[in-house]
Amino acid sequence: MEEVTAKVFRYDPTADGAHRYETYEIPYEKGMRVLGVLLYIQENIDTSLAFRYSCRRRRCGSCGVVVNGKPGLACMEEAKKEMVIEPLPNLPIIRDLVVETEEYEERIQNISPYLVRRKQPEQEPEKLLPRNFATVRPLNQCIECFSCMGACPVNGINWKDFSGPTTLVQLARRLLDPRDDMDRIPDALRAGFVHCVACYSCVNACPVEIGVLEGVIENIRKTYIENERVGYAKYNKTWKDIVVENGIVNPFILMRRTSNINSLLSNMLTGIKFILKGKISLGSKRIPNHEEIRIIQKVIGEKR
Amino acid sequence: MTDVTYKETDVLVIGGGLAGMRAAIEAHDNGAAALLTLKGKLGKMNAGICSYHCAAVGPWGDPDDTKELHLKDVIEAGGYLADQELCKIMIEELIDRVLEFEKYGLMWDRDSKGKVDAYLGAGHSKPRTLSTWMRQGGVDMIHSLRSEIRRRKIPLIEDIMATRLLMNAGEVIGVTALDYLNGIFMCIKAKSVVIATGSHHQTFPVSTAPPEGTGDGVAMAYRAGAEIMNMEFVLFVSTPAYPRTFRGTLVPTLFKVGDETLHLLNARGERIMERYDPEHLEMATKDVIARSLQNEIREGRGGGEEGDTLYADLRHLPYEAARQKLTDLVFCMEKVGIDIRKELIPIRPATHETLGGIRINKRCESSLAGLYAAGSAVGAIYGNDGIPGRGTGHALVFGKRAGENAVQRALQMDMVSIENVMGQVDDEKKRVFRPVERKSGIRPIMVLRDLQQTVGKYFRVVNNERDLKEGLKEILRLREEKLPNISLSSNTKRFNLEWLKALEVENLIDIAEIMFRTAMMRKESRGMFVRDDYPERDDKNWLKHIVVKKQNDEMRLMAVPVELIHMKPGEGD
Repeated sequence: MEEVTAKVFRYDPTADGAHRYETYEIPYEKGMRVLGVLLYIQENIDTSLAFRYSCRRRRCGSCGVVVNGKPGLACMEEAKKEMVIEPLPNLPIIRDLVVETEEYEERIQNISPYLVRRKQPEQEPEKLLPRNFATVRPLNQCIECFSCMGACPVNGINWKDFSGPTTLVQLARRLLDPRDDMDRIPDALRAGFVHCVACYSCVNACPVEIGVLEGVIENIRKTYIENERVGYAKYNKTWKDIVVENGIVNPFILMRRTSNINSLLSNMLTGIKFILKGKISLGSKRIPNHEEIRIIQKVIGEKR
Repeated sequence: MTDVTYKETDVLVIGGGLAGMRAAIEAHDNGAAALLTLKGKLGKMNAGICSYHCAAVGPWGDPDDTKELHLKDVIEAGGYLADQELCKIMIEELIDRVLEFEKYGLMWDRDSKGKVDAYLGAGHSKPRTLSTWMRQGGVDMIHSLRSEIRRRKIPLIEDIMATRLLMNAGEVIGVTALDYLNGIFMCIKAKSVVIATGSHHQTFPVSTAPPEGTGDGVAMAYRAGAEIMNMEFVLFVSTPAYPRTFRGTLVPTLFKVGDETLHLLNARGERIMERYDPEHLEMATKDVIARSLQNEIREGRGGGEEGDTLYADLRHLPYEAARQKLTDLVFCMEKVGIDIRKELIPIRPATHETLGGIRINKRCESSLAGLYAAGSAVGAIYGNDGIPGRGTGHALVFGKRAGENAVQRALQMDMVSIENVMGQVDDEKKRVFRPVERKSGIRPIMVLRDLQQTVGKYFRVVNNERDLKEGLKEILRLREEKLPNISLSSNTKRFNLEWLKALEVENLIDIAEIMFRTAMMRKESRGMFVRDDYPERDDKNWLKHIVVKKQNDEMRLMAVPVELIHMKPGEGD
């Protein structure tokens, strides 16, 4: 590879009517990163190119961009033979690859992203067992680069009920800290953790390899259930039971088992419409081969 | 011409690293209106994030450890050029700064019994160096301070660069700044101003520290007449040879994995340090290692296309332990496909830290009334070299002190009117907007490259009068010929980094001039500062700080004796 080609997103909202892509040819250097490509352009071809960077080793989280459709850090992503380099999605463009992240910072500000203790330890430094911090330690690595926010499809539809993976990582950092005394669940609900669709996009995008799903969302969910927020816990468990029983979730059965009488009555009219149109059935239909689901459940059960 | 946006506050803190954030927190907690401004985004643009650890004597490590021992280590490492009064204060207060981090949500490394686990940092006589999981000490400290700024909702302006101190009757009463995100010129009135803008390693072509370190605060303070010092001191290290963006990752020599160190090899595969310091090998002091590496290259034993590449050998180290200790280096090298278990890491010399900056007293006051300084923008209080944890400790202790003392002044006085300084504001606005309005000329990046190449060529590990003179001549030529002709490829006022660079390069040229002049003045060799025309340490004439000050548009250099109030050379042995 002697040369690489980079198609770079360019846009100045104060001057240009619309964005454009410019193509640059750059001499390849052994081990070259995308940041090296951007710096080469800025120093040798077009000195007006704007992007952010600082530490050059995934510590600061400044250089989040999208390379060939995948969000990540420019300092870590490998330079490819052909690249399209774009700003992180879903955010206003300041210029070229620089985005306005104020919205995300506000979401983080809204979940009280700091340690809250009712009383200070009697002696300092206090005794803290590393094993009690095993779940929280990896989350402290989050550098708020917002790569996961760019990758998350739920965040992508710009739905204000979901604060996105970075916000939930920051929330879980405090929730899972054994020293923290604040009830974080109301914030977690407001941040909409239940809307995560568990697609692993955030996990794949994270440059510091945080397990957003198992490490964050699942732990928030677990805390929520352990704290006897029965409504949600019951719903969750019923859903799983029905899947095991029938292989398919029948909304009627789900409603019947999880809702109280008032809720059932208020939804009756919709239910009847659905039944008449054949969208739901009253009986419990099973999918073919549903025995396999029991086997899967058994295997998962044994693994745990 | 564009309008000016006015703001006012009690305490203005410029710079969002460890020192700046700590100062802003302290100012806020002491009841003043604090405003934090920074070039970049909070918690993302600073050198602190690249650091690994902090060091303090406390209820960990060796029970026989004392603050006196720590002080001795610091003063000896700094070649007896430490400000001993300030160092003593730093060591006294470090423990509080370290412990408060756990209130801020950080957790220092613990052993399996839950006790704080300190390790022996190179140059420390006892284990008192603390870090956090995976050696992320710097990241964790920065994030913790940022969460405290968020907790307090301290007002913040990001993406602005302070350009000039406004002076009224010898007092600092505010600054002008460029909001480069929106292209707006700002004037911020303040009762006291804290400069925490970091160091000026961007005078060098390759540095471990981040690119925003352009000495803005130091240059601004110098131009306003503040005393600055220690500008001749720079620390050299080595970093991976490629790719260029990983050239900022430190190859730490002074560390041990078990009983082993990494090995430094030349192109012939010989262990370099066997030639220069067979007793200490890779545990020799930083200056010995830097000189040895430079000598190997000069004598033609380097590899690579330019003959300036040497090699770090980690093959004999237990892999997991090496990965834990050298997280960044191993991670980055694996990214480029180097397997440290089988391959050598090609390395080249680089700059690590510039030690010069504003001269402060124990209240963090500069020589100008109303101006305080903290962090790397301060002329290193520990002398001309330091031991691990020096930078972070220095930033935190004096960051807090700066905030505290800035408030004391602010609460005692009324806001000064800026009527008298409107001339300064207008002049500065003209200067700041000149590059963006000039139609044709040289790009700032070209001037920056010339500057960095000049400093890289003439300000090296080993210097002499001839080289330094040549370097100074080049710098002065850059100022005369290039600076007045800087123009930008795009005249947009929206996040125009070239515009920013044009202003930064002006600061760097001022700084580089001072570096060359002070290095010429110091006629001796001491630790990391080496001159081959004066190869001996000269305690008789040079137990002195070189203090620089602008007076009547002339640069005045003064050699001020070091006050040896706690320790004299020879006493410690």
